[in-house]
Amino acid sequence: MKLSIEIAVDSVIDTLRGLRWSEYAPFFWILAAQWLFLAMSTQLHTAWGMSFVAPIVRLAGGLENLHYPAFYGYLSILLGWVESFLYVVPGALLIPLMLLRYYARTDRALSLGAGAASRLAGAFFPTLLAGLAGVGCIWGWQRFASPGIMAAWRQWMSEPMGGTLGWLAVTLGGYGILTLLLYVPVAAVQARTNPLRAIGYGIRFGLRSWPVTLVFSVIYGAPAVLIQFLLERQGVLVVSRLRPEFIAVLLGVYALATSVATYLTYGTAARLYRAARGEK
Amino acid sequence: MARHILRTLLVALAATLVVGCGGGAERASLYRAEKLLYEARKAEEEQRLGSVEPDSAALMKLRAIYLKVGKSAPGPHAVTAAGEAGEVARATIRAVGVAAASGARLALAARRADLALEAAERLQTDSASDTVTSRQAAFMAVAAYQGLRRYEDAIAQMKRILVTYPPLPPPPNGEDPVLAIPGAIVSLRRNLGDEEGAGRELRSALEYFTSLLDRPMVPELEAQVRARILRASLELNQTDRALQEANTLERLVGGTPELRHLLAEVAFAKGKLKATVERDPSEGIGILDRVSTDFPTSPLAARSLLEAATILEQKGQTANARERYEAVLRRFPNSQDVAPLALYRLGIVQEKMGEWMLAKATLEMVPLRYPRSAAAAEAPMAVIQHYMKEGRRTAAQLYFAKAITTYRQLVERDSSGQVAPLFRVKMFQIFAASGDSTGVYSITEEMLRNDSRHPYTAQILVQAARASIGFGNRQRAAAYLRRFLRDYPKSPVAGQVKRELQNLGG
Repeated sequence: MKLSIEIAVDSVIDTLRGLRWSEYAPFFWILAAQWLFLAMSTQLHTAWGMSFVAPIVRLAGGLENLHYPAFYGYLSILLGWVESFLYVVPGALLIPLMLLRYYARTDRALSLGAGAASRLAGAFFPTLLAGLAGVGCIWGWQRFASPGIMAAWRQWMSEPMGGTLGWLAVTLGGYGILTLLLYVPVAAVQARTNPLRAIGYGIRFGLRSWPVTLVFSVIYGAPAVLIQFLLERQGVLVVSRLRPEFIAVLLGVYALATSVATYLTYGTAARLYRAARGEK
Repeated sequence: MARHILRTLLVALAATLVVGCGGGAERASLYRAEKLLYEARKAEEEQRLGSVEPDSAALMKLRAIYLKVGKSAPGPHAVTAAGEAGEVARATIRAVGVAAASGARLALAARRADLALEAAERLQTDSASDTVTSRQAAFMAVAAYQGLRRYEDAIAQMKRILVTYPPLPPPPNGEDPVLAIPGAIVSLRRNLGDEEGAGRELRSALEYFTSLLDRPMVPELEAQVRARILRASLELNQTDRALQEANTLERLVGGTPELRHLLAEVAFAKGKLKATVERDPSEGIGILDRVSTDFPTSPLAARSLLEAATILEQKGQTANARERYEAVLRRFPNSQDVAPLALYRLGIVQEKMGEWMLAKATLEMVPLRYPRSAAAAEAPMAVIQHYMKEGRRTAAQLYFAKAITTYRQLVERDSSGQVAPLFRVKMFQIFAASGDSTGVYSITEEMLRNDSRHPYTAQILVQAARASIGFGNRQRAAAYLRRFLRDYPKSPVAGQVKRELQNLGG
């Protein structure tokens, strides 16, 4: 079946109408882990808080940032690494679980039991690989392409507009990369597939539906992007003018926005994939 | 089975956390200290941004916030430990040191120098293993001793710093404060009215700086040390040594582009030497004039103009001198170490040029414009001396009341300031000259109350005793002399005072 704007709009509407806690729950666990980490980050003045966070900071290579209030300037970067880990590693299990719970609406065999477990196991590696590839590509994009893009925008337009639009272009680029890999877990939980075929199908569908997927994922992600903009562009102001701990609160809201947006994005992607294959 | 796996995973996680964060408690302690220091700074910033200047009570409250930092990170800190543990311990002790220094600063501002001294002594003991912090504590103690008016202790502490802490290579566009200590000792002696002692300290300063050159040091530090040697030898009128040092410094500065700002020092020295040594000072004066235009941001810019003016005044070229005093006031009116003297000398030059009304107005302007300067103490006396020189005793005596009012206002403005004892001495001199016994007694009591153990108070006690004899009050004279012997037992005039007391039958 041909992909059309109508199908995409129907998928979005159906996703928004059909929100279910059981389907969102896997993302909530990731969110809970992020909130726990943020709560611990505000307790670095205690030995137990420091003992929990310091090894993670050491792993991220940012030990020199374990000072007050500089730590709060670094917290968004640190949370970025924690978020990447949670969505890639536990996410390799939790994202297919969310998708299976959605598909279980029409396929009772998937609701529990051995059928669901084998599909979860089969989806783990393709989802993990897609996640790792996504994080790697985003890292490369921000490391190598971002300075050039920012410079070009700044040359083209004066500040602060040049810098703002440059930042927006880099962020949109990140969304563009992730949406290409978005359908790998969706393809991986389908019946009668294998990891290689799932990756191939997922990327192929990602390319085919790229414009519409980009549009709805950006719309869902807009609140998170807004908070991210505030933190990255005005973070120093928040630290110096307000209480530095306010950064942790903002990051908590950002994590919630990202969690909901990810759930909605995968929900819509699952519906779109199914509709494009002519399934109901 | 599942329970077994879960238990193994939990144990592994706990083990990772414990192994991965050795020193968590120490890091947390550092973080806590930094957090409290940040909050204290923020509280002080908010207080200072308010419409009302914080009073002593508010300052003491702020100090209490800073003191929490030390309490949050109690020692001992393993500063000598190797690696990360040592780094964390050093950072902690430095955060505590910064907080203690801020607390001491606030205690001094709240006129509780005793608390500042206590904090400095405690910090010096606690941070003995960390040179940066113990150095900071040593400087805090100097400020506290000065606040307590224990000037001899302050000087002794400064000399201890010179022995204990060799100067460090300078930060960009700065210098180690240790280099400023010998000059500070000389200035303190001068402020205490001890010119002989100041000369002695100046010679010691020259010896100290010269001895530093025996050690290997970076060119930036060597240049700064040589600049100090140059200044000291200039002040001691060691012209050959000064010229030799100026040439060495010029070579050193010429080879290091980052030191070019020290060329002002070389030009100033050469200009001063030429202007004082040569019969015709014009070439030297020209060099000094150029320092002020070629290096307008250097602290020597104002000094060189003043120096040129003073030399010209000494050589009798009053019109040229006047021009430069006026230039100092026009170009550097806020230079507190140069401008007050320039305004005072301008008044004197105007008097010499026969423009008395203008001179009087200029001299009366000195206490108004620079109320915290020594020149403010000299200006009213210069007006009185003018009347005395002209034989106008009545005019001089009429001016006594105005001078007393001026000094009283200056003291009220800053009763514990560094120049306040000098203002009181001047009032004493006026009361003594006018035979006002009540004034003499009251100002002596005021000095005993406010400037106890100050060298000026020692002089005043002896003079007040002699004046009391003149006023027929031998009992009071004996009391002043006894107080002198109690407060200044090691004074070189103690023997003479004892004899005077015996003569009074005390």
